[in-house]
Amino acid sequence: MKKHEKVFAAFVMLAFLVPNIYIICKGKESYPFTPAPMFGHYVGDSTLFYSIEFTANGKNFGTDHLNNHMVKRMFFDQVYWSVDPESPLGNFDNDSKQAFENRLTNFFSAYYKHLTSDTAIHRIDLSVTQYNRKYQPLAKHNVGYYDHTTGKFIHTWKGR
Amino acid sequence: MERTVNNAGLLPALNRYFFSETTSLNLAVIRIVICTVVLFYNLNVNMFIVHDPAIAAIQKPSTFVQLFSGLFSLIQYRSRLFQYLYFLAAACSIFGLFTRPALLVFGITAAYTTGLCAAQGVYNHGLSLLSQIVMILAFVPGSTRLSVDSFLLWLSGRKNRQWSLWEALTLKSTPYPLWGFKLIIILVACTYFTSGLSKVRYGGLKWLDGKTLSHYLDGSASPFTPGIKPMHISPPDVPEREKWKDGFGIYSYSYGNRLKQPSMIKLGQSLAANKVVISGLSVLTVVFEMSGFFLLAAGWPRTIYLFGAIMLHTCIGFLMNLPFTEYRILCLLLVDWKWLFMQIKGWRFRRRAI
Repeated sequence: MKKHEKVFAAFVMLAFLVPNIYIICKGKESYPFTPAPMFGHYVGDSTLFYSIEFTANGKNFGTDHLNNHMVKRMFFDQVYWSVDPESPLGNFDNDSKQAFENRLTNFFSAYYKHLTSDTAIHRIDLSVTQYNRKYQPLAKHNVGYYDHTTGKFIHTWKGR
Repeated sequence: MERTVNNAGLLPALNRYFFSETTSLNLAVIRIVICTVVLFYNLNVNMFIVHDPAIAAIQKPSTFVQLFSGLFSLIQYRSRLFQYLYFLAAACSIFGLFTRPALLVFGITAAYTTGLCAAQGVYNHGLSLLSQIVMILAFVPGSTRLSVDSFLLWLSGRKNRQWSLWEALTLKSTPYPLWGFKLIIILVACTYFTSGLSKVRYGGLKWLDGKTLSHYLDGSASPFTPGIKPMHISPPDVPEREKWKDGFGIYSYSYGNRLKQPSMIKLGQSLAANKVVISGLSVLTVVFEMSGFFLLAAGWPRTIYLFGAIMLHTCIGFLMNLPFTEYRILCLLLVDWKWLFMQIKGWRFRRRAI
């Protein structure tokens, strides 16, 4: 092989290997590169389970929207974010109450338009229910609400 | 036959590993089969186009998708045209017409469209690797054999007139360096390694106790059994500082087991009920996946690993309805069948495995 052919080969190999190895080391997926985190979590006897719910005027949107696991995953990974600093899903050092509110405002202002043409709905509540390993409900917390008149998500759970 | 460079030392060893020459047709076969598989599994190419601007606004595509979103914005506005481009590139890649540009376009469009799916919450791990392999084939020597391009060159007389059509298609008298095949092997090895690593990296060493696997096999994660199946999880001891969003502190989402076959569900439940077996299976899975770099060693280590991977995917397919057929086909294509048959027959065959 001539030298320039070897240089080309090295260039192509690095062009594919570097992003793959970078994403493996970083530990967060960026399609089509992945650290393959499927089933990379622990479920034991005392693991707690949660469902994230949207409700408006007493109507639960969970059945027709949040039961869609694509929406659930996208919402958690890209909007809600994990609180585990080591998580392969969305989690960043600079997260704060303000950044959380901004992300949810962006999400709900778009999602509201998609969700309903019902002008009577002015508010969507976001809540989280906690379950034990046997899926028995333990507690329910209201996280906040999206106010359509102001176009803002208000984080009502007392935090930092 | 493979030619090798015989020198001692690290650089000569790397030189020998990546640039030894072969006349094998495996990259051409990989091109034909893998492009067909990618096309088959991504046939409905416009499926993940979002026409609802509100939903489109909340998606966060990967850097790769963003990089090509300008170029492929026609998928949104001229989806039929995009479809034609995609299917034309796929056909040209499979049959080998304008092979290299076709492979590049097909690889990028396949990764782009499946990347749109990832932006909507579901990451297609089968096609993420395979679409990269299609792109790799656009650059590496040996992938354009068995192609219409070779046939047309032979027909036009630009190749040696004395060659038969088969000789012209296979170029058996013209060896090529192996680095393309080795690059694919390294990527596959990285994929298996990181898959095993992630289980202990994110789940901790306690993942090996088998309880996580039990959760997926005992019916707890089945969407088909009665009752609510919350999918988000956290450990019981979340630090107070991590509870600021909702008072709980959610760590992750879990997955589901969409198996419907009653006999397999029963088998899964009996495996999950046996602590020794389920823990053994967990350890075996992680150790096997983290041994992915055995693939780098040609001959028996690679062959045994590839058959092991096929078995692993087959078992997961039966027990969790995740057959990863794309990976099983890829593993079959990476086996050096000629070498294996010679070994089985016990022939004193001088050819080394590639």
